[in-house]
Amino acid sequence: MSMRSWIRDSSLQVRIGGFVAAILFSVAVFLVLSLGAVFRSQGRAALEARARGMADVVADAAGPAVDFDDARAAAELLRAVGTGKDVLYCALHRADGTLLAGWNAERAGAPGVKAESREGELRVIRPIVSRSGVAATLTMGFSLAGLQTAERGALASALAIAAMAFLIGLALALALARVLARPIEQMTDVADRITRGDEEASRNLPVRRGDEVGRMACAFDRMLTHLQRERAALAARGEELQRSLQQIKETQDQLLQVGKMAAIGSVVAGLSHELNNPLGIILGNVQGLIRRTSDDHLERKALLAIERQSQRCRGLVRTLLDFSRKPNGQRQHIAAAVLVDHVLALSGTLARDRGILLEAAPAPDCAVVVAAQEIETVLLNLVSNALDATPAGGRVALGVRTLEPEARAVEFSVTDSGTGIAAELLDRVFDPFFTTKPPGQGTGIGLPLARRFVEQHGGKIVIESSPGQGTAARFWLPAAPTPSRSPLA
Amino acid sequence: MRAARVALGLAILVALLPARADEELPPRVQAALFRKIFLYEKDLGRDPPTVLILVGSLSSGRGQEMVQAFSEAGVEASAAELWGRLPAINERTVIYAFPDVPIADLRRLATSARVFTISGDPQMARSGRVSVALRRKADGHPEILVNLPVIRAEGRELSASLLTLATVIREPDALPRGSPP
Repeated sequence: MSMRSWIRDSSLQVRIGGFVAAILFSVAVFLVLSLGAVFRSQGRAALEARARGMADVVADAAGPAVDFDDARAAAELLRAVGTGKDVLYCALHRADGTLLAGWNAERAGAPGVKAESREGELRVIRPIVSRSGVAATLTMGFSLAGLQTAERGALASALAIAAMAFLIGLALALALARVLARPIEQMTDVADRITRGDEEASRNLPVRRGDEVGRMACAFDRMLTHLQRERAALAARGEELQRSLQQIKETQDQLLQVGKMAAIGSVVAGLSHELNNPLGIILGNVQGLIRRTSDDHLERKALLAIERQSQRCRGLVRTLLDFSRKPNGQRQHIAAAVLVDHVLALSGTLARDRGILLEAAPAPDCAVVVAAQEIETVLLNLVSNALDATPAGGRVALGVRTLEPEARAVEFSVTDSGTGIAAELLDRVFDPFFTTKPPGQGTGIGLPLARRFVEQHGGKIVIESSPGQGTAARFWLPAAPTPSRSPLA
Repeated sequence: MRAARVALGLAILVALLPARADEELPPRVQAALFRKIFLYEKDLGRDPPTVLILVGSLSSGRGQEMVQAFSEAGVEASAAELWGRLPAINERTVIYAFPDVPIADLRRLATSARVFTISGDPQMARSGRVSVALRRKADGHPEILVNLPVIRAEGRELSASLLTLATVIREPDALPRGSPP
């Protein structure tokens, strides 16, 4: 990993900490090196100044001894000087080079020679001229060991202080980096939670801070609010669009159904019209033959059979004509109970013949404005289908009820305890000429005709069924407006 | 330099002689040493003072020897009796006294004129008659004796470094009866 990519990919805390650590380390190294050099030079200068000052004092004190050539006094003086700190040796030589007095004088070397300081010592040579003009030379040597020890101690102290300052600085830098990075991490966490769907996470944004982070958090919060608003609007538009799509689909289905019915209706109308005339001629001739044939004539039964089948064909043609005929628009205000009673009366005989219980619960006091014949046809078709699907001993029930609120619609239902309809067939039950009955028993027109009549009245019809559990057919019609009562009534 | 060599030679010579306690040093040695001692006195260090050698009736002959010795050491000197006609005395005058000089008159003169007093007899310093005296030690080396109360009474001040070489006498009781405070 290159340095650049490491810097780019590292966290803010690591970058700030590393940057401050590098600066602190550089400053610490610089301080240690410069302090060491400064201490070394200043320590050496201080020792030299001290040595020169000490030599001046000794030279001044040794003046009388030189003047009076007093070796004893000079030796006492140098012995006292020799006990001083860092003093290695001192020697007092006369002008002719002979030794007047000394302390460790053998280390001083030749008198008056301006020799360089040896390793680890500082050598000071001080000429003396006494008050009476007598010349002498004072040679003193000082140890540098103390200075070197102090240098090492100072360097160790500087290193310790630099290391401590570095560690404290690093800790403070990391703490500062953490303080700086925490709100950013907090905002990142909020963004992640919002992405996961936690809309309440925006409450944790550090918007109360007054610094740049606080302003950024405020901007972030405003952006989130705006996004939430936009998302809500988008969701509402999506739902609206979904509803529109559903309506379009239903409309398309209706248009398709209407088109299909229109095409079928025109074919059926033409066909029925063409069939109706020959059937009328056949039926008229057969009825004439029957009137002219005695009751015991052998051909009378055949003619009666021809007449029944012709009547059946005529009924079928009439049904087809009803299917293709446009609504007549003659609607009337009629109680729902009246419609149900008519259907019960018309279908009761058939139900009894088949051993099926046909019943109706008491209808509520409600009415509809409909073409009564059409709605009765709807109910009769539904009851007929129910009786066909219900075995003997079964039960078919008619029901009427008003739908809340405010009874704006009336529901008619026909339920049976028959065999039910398979799920894959339910979608096709309203298709014209689709039937599950044996050939010759069903035309496949009943339910399409019922749907057409119901929808022409502004209603809706559904078939619910489960195989083996029976079928329920329901349709809803707008309730007739309730007549307002006269205040005098 | 010449004086130093002379002093050094004299010192060596004295060292070679058989030593006796409280023996006086030869006049030349005394003159050379006193000349150096004058250098360590506050007022006399810059220029050599004038030495007045006071003699008594017994020491008139030795007075001339000391005058000659001081002259050879480069110090102007003259001899006189205390009751005789004295030359002009001031702060740059040093009185060299022999033991037979009347002590009371000497102290009165030294104190009133703030004159620095010296002697070749160590007993003179011990007894508080003069400020500084010389003697030969048992090992033959010369010794400087400084009577601190007397030198203070004369208003003189010797260098501390010289005092480290000298034998300092501090007892004011050593002052003779009748001397001024």
